[in-house]
Amino acid sequence: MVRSQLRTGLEAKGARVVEAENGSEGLWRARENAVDLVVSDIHMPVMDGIRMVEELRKLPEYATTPIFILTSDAAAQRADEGKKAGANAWILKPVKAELLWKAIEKALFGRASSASVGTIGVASPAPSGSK
Amino acid sequence: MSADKQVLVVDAPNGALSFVMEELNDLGFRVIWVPTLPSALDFIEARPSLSLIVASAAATKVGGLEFLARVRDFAPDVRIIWGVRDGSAEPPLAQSNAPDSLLPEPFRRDELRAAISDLLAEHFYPPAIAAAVKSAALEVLGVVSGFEVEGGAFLVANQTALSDLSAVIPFTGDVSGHLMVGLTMDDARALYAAFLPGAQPARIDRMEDLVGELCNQILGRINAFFTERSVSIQHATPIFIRAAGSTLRYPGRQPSFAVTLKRGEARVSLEYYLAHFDRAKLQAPVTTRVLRLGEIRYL
Repeated sequence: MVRSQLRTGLEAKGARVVEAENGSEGLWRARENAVDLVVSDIHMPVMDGIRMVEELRKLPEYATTPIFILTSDAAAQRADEGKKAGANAWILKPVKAELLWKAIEKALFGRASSASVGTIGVASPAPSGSK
Repeated sequence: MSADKQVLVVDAPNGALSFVMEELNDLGFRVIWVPTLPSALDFIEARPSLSLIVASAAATKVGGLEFLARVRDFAPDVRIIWGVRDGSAEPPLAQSNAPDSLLPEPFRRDELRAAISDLLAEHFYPPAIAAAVKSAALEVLGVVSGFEVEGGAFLVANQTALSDLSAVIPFTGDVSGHLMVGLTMDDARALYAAFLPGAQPARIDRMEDLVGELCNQILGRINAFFTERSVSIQHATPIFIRAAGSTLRYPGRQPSFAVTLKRGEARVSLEYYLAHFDRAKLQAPVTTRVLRLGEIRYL
């Protein structure tokens, strides 16, 4: 699932989406925005997704925020690394949009009584030079 | 790895197989040419470890049946591609010592590649890898229905002509190499529209994003094949190339393994290149669990 595809799908569900192209930018965007849920790849330049999750968990405001790793890495051992870093779910790409959306709903509505979707941070690599 | 793989080309002097010899050389074979069947037999009897014989109809008009029988006796594992012209080489078809592949002459490059890939791919890549590459591509592209593998999978020489949009992801670890996915601009647009129905026409960077993501996901599925066998592998982020018509050359002599998938008129080209791997490890039983496609594992 490419980032634009993810963004389109999430916005269609009423979410506000904040995008980042790598872990470092994702960390910065998360600090600048009150993000309710993070979806991140792991293979990213500058800072990978695992490291970004570790850094996010050090921020008090992101201590309990649901963080999903959306990746093509199928190794169960890597998922354990994600768990150690503080991620809540490891989702193997490609994933059907509806399945992902159900997981997001479950995570968000499990921690808030509001039915509004909120803000979702998406970190995924992009071709250099693009925004 | 392939330096000791020898191919004997039997062709008349000034015959038509010079391009065949170039092709085989590019694929990493050591190519030996002989002009007649008797000289071919002399060579085979001296070196029965030969991998392949490619014989042209021009050199096999006389004595073909006897030649085939003696080769099968002396070097039963050698594979044979036999050129045929109209009305020639009918007798060997019904014999137990028949050639492995009969190709009409003049040889067509794609038919020759297909025959060589079919007969000799296992010399370079275990068949399980070919299957893993094809099924990975179908799994990922199967998200938009209708893709199928076009014409099997081919060994290609260690250089390739680039598409309008290409993404390359190198990988390292117990195995190393790269996967490249390439599309023409028109095919990228069609694919983008298939993945994002109703979306605005894609910008170039979004289409690159798509090509890179396809490469990433397909490589992830191929890597799952290795991970299941406890082969450690790490892959990097995509490198994007917009250089249609340019040639990318790979180091080393190992050919790459090419697959084309098509959906209607659109085509996605894949080249999978393994610079190094441990064949024994790949034949090991599945011991490590990997996540299924689309699986959500709560941590």
